[in-house]
Amino acid sequence: MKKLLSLGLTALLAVSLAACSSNAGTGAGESANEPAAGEAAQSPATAEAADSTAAGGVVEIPMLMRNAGNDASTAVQEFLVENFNKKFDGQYKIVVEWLPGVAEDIRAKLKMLNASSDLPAIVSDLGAEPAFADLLFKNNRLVDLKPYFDTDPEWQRVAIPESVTYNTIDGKMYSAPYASSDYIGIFYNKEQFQAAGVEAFPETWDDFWAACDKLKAAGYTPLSLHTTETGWCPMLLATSSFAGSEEGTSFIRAMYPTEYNQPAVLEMLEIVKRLFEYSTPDAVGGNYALAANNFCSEKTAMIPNGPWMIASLSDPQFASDGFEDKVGYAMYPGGTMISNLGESYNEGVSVDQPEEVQQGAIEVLKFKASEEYIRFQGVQQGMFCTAVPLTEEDMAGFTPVMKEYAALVGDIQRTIPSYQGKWDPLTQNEVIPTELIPFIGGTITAEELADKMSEAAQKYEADSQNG
Amino acid sequence: MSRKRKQGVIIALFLAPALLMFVLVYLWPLCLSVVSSFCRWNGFEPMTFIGLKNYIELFGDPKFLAALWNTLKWALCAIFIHVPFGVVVALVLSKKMFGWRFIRSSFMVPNIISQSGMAILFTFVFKPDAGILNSVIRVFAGPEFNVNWLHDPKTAFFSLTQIWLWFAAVITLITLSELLSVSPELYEAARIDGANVFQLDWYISLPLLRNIIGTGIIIAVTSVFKMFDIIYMTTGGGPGNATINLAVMSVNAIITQNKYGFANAIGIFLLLMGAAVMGLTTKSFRMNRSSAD
Repeated sequence: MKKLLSLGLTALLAVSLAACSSNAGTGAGESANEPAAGEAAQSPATAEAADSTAAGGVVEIPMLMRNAGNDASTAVQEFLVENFNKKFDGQYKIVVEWLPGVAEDIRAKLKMLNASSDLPAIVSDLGAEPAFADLLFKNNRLVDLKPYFDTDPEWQRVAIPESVTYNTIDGKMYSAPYASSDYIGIFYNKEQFQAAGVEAFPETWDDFWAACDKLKAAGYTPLSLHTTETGWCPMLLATSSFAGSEEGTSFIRAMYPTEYNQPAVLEMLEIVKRLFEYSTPDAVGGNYALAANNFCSEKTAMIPNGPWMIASLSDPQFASDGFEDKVGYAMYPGGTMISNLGESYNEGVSVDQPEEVQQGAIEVLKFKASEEYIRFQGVQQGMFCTAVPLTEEDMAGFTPVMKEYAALVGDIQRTIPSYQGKWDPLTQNEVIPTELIPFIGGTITAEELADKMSEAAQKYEADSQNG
Repeated sequence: MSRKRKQGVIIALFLAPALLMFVLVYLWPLCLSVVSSFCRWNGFEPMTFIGLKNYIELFGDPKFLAALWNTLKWALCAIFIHVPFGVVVALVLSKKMFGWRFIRSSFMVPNIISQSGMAILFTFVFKPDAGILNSVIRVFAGPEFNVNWLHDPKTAFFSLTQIWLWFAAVITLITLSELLSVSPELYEAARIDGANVFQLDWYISLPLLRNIIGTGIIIAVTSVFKMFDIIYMTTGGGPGNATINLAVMSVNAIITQNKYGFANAIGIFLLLMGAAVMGLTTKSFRMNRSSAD
């Protein structure tokens, strides 16, 4: 009896272990069928070579996508999945793993997957951390897209020439060029501005500070800010001041600067410090989502951010009914907007996937260069393409804020690139989120913070050179 | 086949899957970590042996010293506050006063919640504007009172410590189960000799709990060594280096810098620290001897 029981238990253990592994395999395919916003991490983005062809000969293309919540990227990604899968029905099928969070979370996951040579078919979000992209390029972890780009006249037609140049390194193109650009400015609550006696969005820094004082005096908190996630909102606004001087402009255009202790940067840091005097108490230590919610719930009068946020202004999940009508979009003081104008890495195709999946992923990139995708992205995210101008019909779908944004784009006086695409990851991800707080609190000076940024940048440079 | 031999085969058969899993899931990655801690490895290129360079870099990094200091402070908090608190709660519960079972279960609830869940919960407790703590203090100190508990360099370490310090249910449970297994005759005899409640605990319970307190210290200190979720989801190690520890430093080395070898050197250092704590605790509490020794 005991013998039988032992054998039975051993068999049960073996069966349960086998069952565990088979479940893991089928789970990918099953949950991938119905990717939906709001669902987190339902299916592994990476597929084994043997699993790349689903039943019926359809090649599955594993992709990692960000379910960002309060911006338009989710809608654009859903458009891509739905329309690509429809167009290539029976041939290719995008299989999505939805990740909640910000772009930083996607990059963290990509790094982990890279270490185990298990990158998804499309490696996205390369622009905000070019150092990671450089490593991928250097180690041939992405497919060279040049032969495909060179033989596709439609792709060439829509691609921004500067982006083609930027993304072509030593004759190879590991990252697809951008077809469209967005321009980052600042959202403001017109109703609160008016109530505080500020008639129009200030055009100079002096007027900007005066407007902040007026808003504060009228009982409004002027700014939505945060310190985590590279300090995105305050850094956008503060780094726009670089455009005001030749020294600042050349600093922000330089790749991986290693010396931050210089007048333009110190001036920018003092602006950061001053901005926090006009923000909510939870801005220190807070994240982007919190800052965005503070603006959408009318706790603050301004938030520096890009046009992708426009969609959330009319989303009942984030804002009250009619909130969008109160919101305006403006350039930063000095008539500056932040845009990489295509001079940034975009996304590439992983070599970890089988050949047929790579081909499918290239088709996805080509689809993203199609007129229908560019148009939808333009309306939703405010990314405009010179080669594919939006039609009257497209623009009829613009929300009032998007109309205002589109009008601004035509009047831009000057643009500078985003700091995220230029500075090393150690400075951005470690120094800024942790050292900004003591700096704002007055524990360390601007010079000391700049020195810490320089130290981190130099350390990163030295580590990169050592491999 | 003799009966003993047959039994041996059956035991081996039962142990084999567990051993296999242990080797594959734990031992193999551990060996890989040890080897890679002596290598330069960015997750892209093959590992290159660099000797002790990762360790030299680690000991020369001011962030490491801050992380080590914070870790040691938390370890001391675990030894001198967390564990004694759990033991005291167990001693009180062992008196089986009215509702002791309910209190025992309630005390366990925070341990059911994940560390990240606790972190999010306490973010709302410590929030500067609408946090529960500031709201309560404002009742007494006035509406102007405003402390950003988790992000003020003066209060960050203290606040983060509160998230785990008082939740000692595991210590309480293991202590309580040990206490309940003590022969009631021992207490009965002491009571006849005129011992009061305090003397019963001091002279009988605590000496008998020596082994379990030692085990509690090992559990608590090693938990503190590997504490990650709470820090990452609240302060991220900041402001400055006020709340960084070695686990956070290790993950940052991978995510931000792709320095897998360096991160594994931190991991190995943590492992050695854990082993040292186990050795010291075992020796100090004479854990390899029975309570009667």
